[in-house]
Amino acid sequence: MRIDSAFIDGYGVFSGQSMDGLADGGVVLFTGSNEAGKSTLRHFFIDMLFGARRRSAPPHPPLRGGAHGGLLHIIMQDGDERSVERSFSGPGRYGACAEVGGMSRELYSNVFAFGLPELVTFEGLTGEEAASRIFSAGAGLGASSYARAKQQLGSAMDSLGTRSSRNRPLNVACDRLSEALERLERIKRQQGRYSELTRDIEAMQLERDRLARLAAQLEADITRLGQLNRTRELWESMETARRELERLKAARVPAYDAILALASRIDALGPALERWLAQVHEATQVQVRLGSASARARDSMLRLGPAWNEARVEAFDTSIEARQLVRDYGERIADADARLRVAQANVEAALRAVQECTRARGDVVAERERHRPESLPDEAVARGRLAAASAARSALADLNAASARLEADLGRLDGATQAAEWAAAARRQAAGMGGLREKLASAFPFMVAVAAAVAALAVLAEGSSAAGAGGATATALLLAAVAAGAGTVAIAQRKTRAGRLNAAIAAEREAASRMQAAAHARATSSEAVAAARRALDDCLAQLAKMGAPLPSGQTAAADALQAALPSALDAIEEQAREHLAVLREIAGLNTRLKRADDSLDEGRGELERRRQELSEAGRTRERAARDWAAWLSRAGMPESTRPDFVLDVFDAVNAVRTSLAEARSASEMLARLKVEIQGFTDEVASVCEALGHDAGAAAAEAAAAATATATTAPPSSDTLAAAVATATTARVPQLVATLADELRKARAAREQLEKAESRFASLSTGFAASYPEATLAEALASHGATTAEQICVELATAERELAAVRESMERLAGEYALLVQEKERMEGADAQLVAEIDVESARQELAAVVRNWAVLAVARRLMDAAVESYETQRQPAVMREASETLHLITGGRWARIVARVAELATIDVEDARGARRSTEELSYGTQQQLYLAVRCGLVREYAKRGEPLPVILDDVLVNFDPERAAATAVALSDLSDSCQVLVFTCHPEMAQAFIRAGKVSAHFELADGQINRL
Amino acid sequence: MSLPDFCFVHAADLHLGSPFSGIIAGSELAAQRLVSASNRALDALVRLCNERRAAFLVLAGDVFDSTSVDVRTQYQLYSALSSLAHEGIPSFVSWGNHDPLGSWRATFNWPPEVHFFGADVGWHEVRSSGRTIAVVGGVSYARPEVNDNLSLKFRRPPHPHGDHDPDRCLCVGVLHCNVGVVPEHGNYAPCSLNDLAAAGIDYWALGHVHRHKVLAGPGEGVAGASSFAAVYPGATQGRDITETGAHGCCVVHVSGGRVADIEFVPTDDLRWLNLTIDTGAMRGLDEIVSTVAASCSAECAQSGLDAVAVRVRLFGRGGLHRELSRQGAGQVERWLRESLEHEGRAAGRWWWLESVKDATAPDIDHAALKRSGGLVAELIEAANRLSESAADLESLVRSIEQELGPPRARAALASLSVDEVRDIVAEAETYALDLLLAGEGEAGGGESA
Repeated sequence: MRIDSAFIDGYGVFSGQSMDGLADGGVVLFTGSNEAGKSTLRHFFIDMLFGARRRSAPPHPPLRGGAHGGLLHIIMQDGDERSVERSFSGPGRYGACAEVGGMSRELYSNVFAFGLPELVTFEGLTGEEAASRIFSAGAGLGASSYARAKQQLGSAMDSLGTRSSRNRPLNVACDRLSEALERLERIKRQQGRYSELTRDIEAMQLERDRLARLAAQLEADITRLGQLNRTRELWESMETARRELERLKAARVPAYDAILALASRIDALGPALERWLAQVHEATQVQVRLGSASARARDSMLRLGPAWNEARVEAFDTSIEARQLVRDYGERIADADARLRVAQANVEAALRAVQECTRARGDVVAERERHRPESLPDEAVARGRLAAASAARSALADLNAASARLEADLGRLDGATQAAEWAAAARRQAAGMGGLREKLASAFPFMVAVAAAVAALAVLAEGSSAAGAGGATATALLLAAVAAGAGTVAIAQRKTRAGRLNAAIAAEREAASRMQAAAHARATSSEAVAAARRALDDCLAQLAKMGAPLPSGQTAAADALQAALPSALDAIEEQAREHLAVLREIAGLNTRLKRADDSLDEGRGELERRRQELSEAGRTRERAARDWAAWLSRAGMPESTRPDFVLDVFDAVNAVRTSLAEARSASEMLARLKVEIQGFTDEVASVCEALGHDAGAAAAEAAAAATATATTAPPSSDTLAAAVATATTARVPQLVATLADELRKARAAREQLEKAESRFASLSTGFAASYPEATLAEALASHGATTAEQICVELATAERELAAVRESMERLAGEYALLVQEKERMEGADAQLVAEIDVESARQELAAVVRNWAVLAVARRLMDAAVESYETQRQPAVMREASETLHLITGGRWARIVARVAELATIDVEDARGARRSTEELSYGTQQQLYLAVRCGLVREYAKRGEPLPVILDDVLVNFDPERAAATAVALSDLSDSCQVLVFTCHPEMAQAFIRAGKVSAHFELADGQINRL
Repeated sequence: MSLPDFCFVHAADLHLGSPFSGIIAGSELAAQRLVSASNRALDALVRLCNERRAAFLVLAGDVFDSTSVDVRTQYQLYSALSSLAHEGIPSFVSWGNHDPLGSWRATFNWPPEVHFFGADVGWHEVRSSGRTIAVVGGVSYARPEVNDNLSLKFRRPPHPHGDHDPDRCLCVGVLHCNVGVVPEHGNYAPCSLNDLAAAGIDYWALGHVHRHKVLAGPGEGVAGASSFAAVYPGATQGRDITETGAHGCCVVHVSGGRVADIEFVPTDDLRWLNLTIDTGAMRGLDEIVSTVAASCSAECAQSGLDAVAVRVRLFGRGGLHRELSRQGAGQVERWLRESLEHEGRAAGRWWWLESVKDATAPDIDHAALKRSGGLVAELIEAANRLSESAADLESLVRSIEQELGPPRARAALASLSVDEVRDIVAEAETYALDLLLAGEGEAGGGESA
């Protein structure tokens, strides 16, 4: 990069100053006295390239007007031209321009654009950026930065972990691993607790079992004592009942056993006594009914007659069926008589109807005979004549029409023939040019045209040789026009004649066509007339065949026949219609006769049916009379007996039967009562005998006597009353009452005993239900051996002991549950595994971080090693360049610079013999020459690797002796081959030194804020 | 009359209560799922015994993962073996280096059908229908590290118990050991196959090696007169990403008192899967997810299981390297884990990303950089020199260890293996190159344009 021109708008003392031609090669020399603005101009170039310093005041504000800034025109190494415009009062005042390629201001100020103050201080070159930047440039790293790489590497390592920071991944991972390991150790130490838990749990299980057994024993005692306590009252009641039962058993009466043994029979005597008294009373009443029924039976029997007795009465069938049968016989006989009478009346009516029908038929036959003519054709012939006549009339009409059409066609044929002839004549006329007049008329225009043409030619010939040529020409033209018009007329006439001939030919053709059509129509009409005539002949032949009266002539061809034919056909049709009317009337009479015949046949049939009904009614009446007689015979009654009488006999027989039945019923009831009354007396006697009662026997005898009286005494009211009195006043009721009283007493005694037994049994059962069967005896014994107070005391004691045991068990169960829970938690807990996983996880995490860190650390080591190797084995080109420059500047005094580029602070110099001196051992001027040589080396090396930047030197040779100053000017002039060199000096001899070096391309003088090219 | 045919189940290395390695922070739920896989493997073992009507069950050591597993884990074993005892299936358990005899044990009322071997070889009979069908002998570790050859303590009992014919019943030896002194396994109870053959045991029920391995199949044993079988059933459940593939137990079929067949039956509930994915040709991060999901799906289809834990190593130049580097390892892992879990849920399965390693590299020409002779070349050379020397790597670790403050962090760093440090160097090289070759405008590492 070279600055080709510059414009300073306003910067320090400079305002509106411009320079050009700076990039022509060689050294650009700026000279001026002190405070002429050399440093200001140097700063201008630097500020324009790198921008103003941040956090600093604006550089060199304009003192003489103009906008603060300027413009540089730059030519890059590849020839590309750029402009750098910058305003130090605007937003673009900061930041280096892109053309400097990432070079920092500080590095540029130290290596490329410096004055004496920078030259004498070596620190500028030992800065990390300067050294590494330059080193990178010489190490084949292209545009990359070794320093940046190392910085990034260091940052990456710091991001992983530092010794001071605790929150970096490396430290965090270590801490996490430590914590995880500690947690794991803690958990592992706790695992020993599992065995303790197992032992404690086993011991607790033994204690729990012991307490459980003790509690069970106490619970059993409490149960037993509680049961004794609860059943104590019951047991005492049971003992009382037992004693009462024993007392009742001791006071038992033996006679009560016999009474109780007959208890049911004694209980039955009471109701039986009531029934017995009623039966005695009923027996007397039955005796009275028996006598009354027997008397009525005898009276009824006498009313039936002597032929009747008790056996016949019982055998005689008076059932409902028999009564209904008799009633049916009566109804059948009456119904047969009525039917017979109706049948006789029907026969008589039918006979009268037949006679009426016969008479009516005779009337119809007589009338039909009156209407029938002598010769009458049948209906088919009459209808055939009528149809044939109609067909003949139609054929005749067709014939007349066809004849008329034929006549017309003949007329049209004649007309067409005439028109054809006319058309032929016209065509011949048109073709033959007609007469002379017409020919002349047609030739006249032509001749006129020829004459006019000849005249025109003559006029033209004459006019060409005479003086009045103009008039002759006009005349000729007029004549020529006449000739042309005449010619035109002649041509038109010829065209008209040709048109007429064509029209005549067409008319002739059309007339011929019409004539042919007329001839064809005439032929067709002729055929139609012949066909109509044949049809008419056929009709006439058919009429003749059917005997119709026709006029003379056999065919329709005869005109006479055709003339007479319509009237003949009318006569034929009229006759046929008359015949048909007569035939229709006769047909009506025949129909009436048929109906009369049918009515007669029907009346005769009806008469026959009625006669059969009469016969059947007679037979029915006979059968009914025969059946009734047979029944009477079977009943043993006379034949003349009517059914009504028989029904009265039935009633009488039934009355006898009723009386006899009542008598038998009373007799049977009396026998039954007797048995029952005897049974009671026997039962009373038996009971008394079983109990050994003497009074009972007497009472039984009295009862027997009363029974006999009631059942055998004559049926009078006196005896009846006596029997009843005997029975009711007897001693039987008293006896029965006595027995019942004794039985009640016996039962009361037994009931008392049973109640005592029941109570004892109930109490015993209740007590037994309170205990299992196996412990019942023990419970009874315990009750018998202890008192209620003793039981209560023992129970309270046991309950207190049980409560204490249970409390111990609960406490133990709680502790046991906790231990088991803890043990189970340990069995199911994955705390150790989780901790181990955590440890492993932390270990892996740490390993990963350490590995990443190791990669970075090794990378740094590799870079350091590479640098070490590079520095020791391959002296950088920058040092070679610096050595050559120093050798040139010092006139060969110092031949080589020995330096470690990464550690520029340890530069040494060697003379041609290899004697080395450190920097501190050199003179002040030589030190500056060394530093300048190193910078030249750096500049040269940088120019080889990157875009060469301008070198700006501000009076850096002031401490050099003239010899070395001249050599330095030569060296710097040589540097201008690699990059642009701008030299500022206030010393004329220095300027001359550069001029003598021969490579000054431009020389500017600075004075009073002006830049003038020399 | 010959002995009846029967079968028994041989399992080992259940590692119950294992917290599983490789579980990173924030994955406690995943950890629970992994832990439950071991428990489910135990359940599967019990189911298998019941389904096959096994005559007995043998557990050959490392039943528990540590000497101090919690009560819950011990209770799970108690519950499982008790249920087998309830079904009439006895169990024979030996303890290994992970769960030696000195370990803390919770007190349970173990059924008499459950037998635990002591520090000396003990023998037990297995009877069926009144006859002894097998004698089972075993030994447990008295301490975590047993370097004695315990197989020498085994001798087939000449007349174990009374009236039966010892030659006709099966003799089983239960031993947790390293046969052949295989270096990748802890060298506990080391012995040789000849040692095993000399004991006269018909079937060696071995434990310790987590992958199923038949050292000697039926009739293949090297014993002179009689053949024998020696089998590692492997772990019942793969424990970490190094234990990929099926894990389970062995069903040993016995006919005529001799081992007739050995059947491996998977019992694992979860498979570990190691994936290496080339991202060089990938255009989007979604392709990583879909690739991992497809592999998990294929693993599920092949194994018949629903759970897969997968470790992913991404490699390849260019491609997604810039994107992955920009996001950083932690972010990529979180994102890929969540994406995979989402995909798994969508497929009705449980897919969990154990870890993802970003071994992608910028699309740079190392050879060209080395030829350039600049600093980058020196850096590449330095990384190469470092990786080639294990001593330098160890020295490097010791060197950077000093910079780490927390002792636990230093310990974590010190525990890295040489291979891991080599990987770190490779990653560091890539990281440094990303930084050095990146444009200045970029915030972090990345490949050069």
